[in-house]
Amino acid sequence: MQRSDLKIVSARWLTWLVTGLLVAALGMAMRVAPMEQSMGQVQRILYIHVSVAWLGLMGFAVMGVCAMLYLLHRNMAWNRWSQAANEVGWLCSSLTLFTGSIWAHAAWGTWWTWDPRLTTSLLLWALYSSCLILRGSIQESHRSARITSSLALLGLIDLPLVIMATRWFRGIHPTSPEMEPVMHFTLLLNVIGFTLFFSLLFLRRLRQLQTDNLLRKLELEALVNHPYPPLSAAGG
Amino acid sequence: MLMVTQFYWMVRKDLVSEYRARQVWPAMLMLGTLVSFLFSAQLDGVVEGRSRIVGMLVWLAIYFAGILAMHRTFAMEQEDDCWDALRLYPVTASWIYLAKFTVNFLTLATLQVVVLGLFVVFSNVPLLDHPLRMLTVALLGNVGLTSVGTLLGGVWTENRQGSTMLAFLTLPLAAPVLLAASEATRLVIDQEGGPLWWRWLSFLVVFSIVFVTAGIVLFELLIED
Amino acid sequence: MSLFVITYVVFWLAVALYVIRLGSQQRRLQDRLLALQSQLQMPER
Repeated sequence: MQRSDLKIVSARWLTWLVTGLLVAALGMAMRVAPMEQSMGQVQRILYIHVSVAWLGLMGFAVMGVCAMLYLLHRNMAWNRWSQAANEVGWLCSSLTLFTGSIWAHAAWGTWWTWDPRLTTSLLLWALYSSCLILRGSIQESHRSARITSSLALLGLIDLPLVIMATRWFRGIHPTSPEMEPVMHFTLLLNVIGFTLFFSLLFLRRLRQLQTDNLLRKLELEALVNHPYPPLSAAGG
Repeated sequence: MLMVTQFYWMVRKDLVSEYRARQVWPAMLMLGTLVSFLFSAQLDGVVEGRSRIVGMLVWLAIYFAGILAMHRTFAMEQEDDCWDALRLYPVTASWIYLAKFTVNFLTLATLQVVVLGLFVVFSNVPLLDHPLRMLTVALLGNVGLTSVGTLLGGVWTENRQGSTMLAFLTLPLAAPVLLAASEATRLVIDQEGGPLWWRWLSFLVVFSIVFVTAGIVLFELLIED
Repeated sequence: MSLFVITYVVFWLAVALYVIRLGSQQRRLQDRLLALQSQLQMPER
């Protein structure tokens, strides 16, 4: 086996396509899209904010569904899917809160308000975080997977209720404001670009977890069949 | 009919063992008392928006003291392989969930009586001016918290790391109940009935139905083999 | 510097940190593979 065999077998053209898309999306968002009148330049945050917000929700759905599949089949492969989704989703969710907070500061003059969507995304982030902490804190792998998957699945059930509960506090979050066609296109380009980009990160992380699992098995096997040099030298 | 008998014995077993050993209730009630006492002491200087703060504090006190008990109902099964014996009992996991749910419900109800009583005495807020309304909110909030707490308690079942972990796992899931119950409690204190109160109440009903159903359906799937 | 530029910079910095973490994880995996390889080349007992 060669070193390069371990490299992720990902199509080169896909990486280039995603890079190209992201550069185009960035250019559109920073330069080409017209400046919004009331908010000025800060409005350009919208393009990345909407993208990661959507991905945060998507990631949670992926995590929850994979968690359910783990619980049904008790197959660690699904837990690895769920873990990869958890990590990337947590990143997106954190970035949503960060960009959203700056948006709030510019638009409403406050870093945070208890608007329905803000509350929902905060609880989403809390659920992501507890799952992530849980994964690291339990040693035994099946026990860790079972508990984390349960929490992820229950979180998925909880999420519609959270949205329902927070709707009843009065909200100021813009739903779908009117936009110029160019802005619309920029937003679409950003969403597609980031979706592909984070999907690639997700796949890469998934492959790493799979490789780690495989290596673990091989290492154990090698330890049994081929003891380390000092041992074999002493034993002849 | 047989199921009901078995259900009765599962609930009875937990209550009797608690009555004999007194492992959980004294600690839980003491914690609830102390927390209510400290919250009320700090509340003394607050003049405006008292009802809003009391609404949340009551539920926080109930949540944190209650989760301690919910953790114990499953953790005690870990001693002397009780859990394996319980699993050998010829009932489905859903019935075990329902039995534990009932025990936890009764435990939390006792705690609620103590905490609400203490808040009435210490914080000088008219919590019980509409006893029937307060009772409805307390019952529904109890069912909501207990359904989630029992479910996660059954998943967690660990003696070593204690209830700290369980409290932190349950909180994000139980946050909607806590928000809704404290809002409803505030409206009870402010004597505002009306559509808003009914809306929070119906939310609590929906939440309870969803999580009790989830517990009955999913419990078999979530617990250890 | 405008607020939105700072936001973009921090945003990409966070993403870059995660990518770097993935990279170091990748290198660790490769090292483990190499170690395994050299171990397997030892004569069997």
